[in-house]
Amino acid sequence: MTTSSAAPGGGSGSPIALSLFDRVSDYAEALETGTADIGKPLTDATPIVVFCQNFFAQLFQNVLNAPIRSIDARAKEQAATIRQQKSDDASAPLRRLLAVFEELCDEWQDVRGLSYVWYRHRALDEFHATLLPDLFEAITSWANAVDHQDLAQRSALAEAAYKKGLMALSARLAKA
Amino acid sequence: MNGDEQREMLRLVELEYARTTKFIEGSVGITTSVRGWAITVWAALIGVSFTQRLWALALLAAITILSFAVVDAYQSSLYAQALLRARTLERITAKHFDALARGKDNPRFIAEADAALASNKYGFYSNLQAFRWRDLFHLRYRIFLVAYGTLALVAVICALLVLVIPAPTIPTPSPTASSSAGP
Repeated sequence: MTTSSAAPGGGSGSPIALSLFDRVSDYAEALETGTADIGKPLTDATPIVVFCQNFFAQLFQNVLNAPIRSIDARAKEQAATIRQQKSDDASAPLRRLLAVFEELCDEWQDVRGLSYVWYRHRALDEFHATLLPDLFEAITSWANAVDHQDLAQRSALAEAAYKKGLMALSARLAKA
Repeated sequence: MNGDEQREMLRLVELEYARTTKFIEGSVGITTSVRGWAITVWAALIGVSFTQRLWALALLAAITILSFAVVDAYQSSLYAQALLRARTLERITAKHFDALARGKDNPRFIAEADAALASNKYGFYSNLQAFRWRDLFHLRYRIFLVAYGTLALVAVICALLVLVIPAPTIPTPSPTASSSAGP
């Protein structure tokens, strides 16, 4: 995984660089304008891939102090261990976020185009329609719980932009 | 859906999965056999066409290999559908697994597992689609088309070679030589 920055960003005390959410806006814009094709596997250069990789790298490093820098089976196992250790009520939003990460680890291979071509479309569809919106909701919920209002706000804005992009894409596909 | 209903539905999914994997095993065996026979028959026809100087046999090899290609494509179409079905069923059980493993922390996993189970169209054979000729040109069959196409092309070239190249003359003993050797 290539991380752009694992340092807290924006001078707001946020454990996640707020500028990272610009990648979501970039991807939402690409969906809206039609330059992104959700039927094709995502590459290292795809803004949403950059976002996912860096968001979780920063979360694990700055919040959980865990050396998880990849999205794979090993990372999933480590994340599941952390999630099971955090059993208190206050950690519920973080557990939800980790649960999404575990799902992302399962889907990552399909999303990156390493599975059978005829099966990949379903995985990519689920990634865009279900996993990503849930990821943004989980981030907002966790950021609110730990009182990082800037982060919660950026995440909510990114989610809105992403959903708008997705709707524009659906409308364009329906028209075609 | 209650726990008992969910368990029974999962049992049916497992049953269908077992049927599907059995079908895949059978399909793999058939396609392997078809390909083995295709190569054997093709090579035999080409060989005999050269030794017997019969160009029509080489042409027959081309027709035969194309027939085998159609049978192979049909079997491969069934195999691909079975594989897709197996992955769909695996996905249902995987979602159930996710619900058990992480559902407490993210209720979406439970909702998705229930939805996947409830929306499953049961029955392996009911989900099979009829073979279409355009399936032959689908990406996953291109390698077969290239392989079988090459064999058919080679067979046609062989037929032309047999037709065009004159048969080698075998020297026969001259009658004078045999008579002079006598008493």
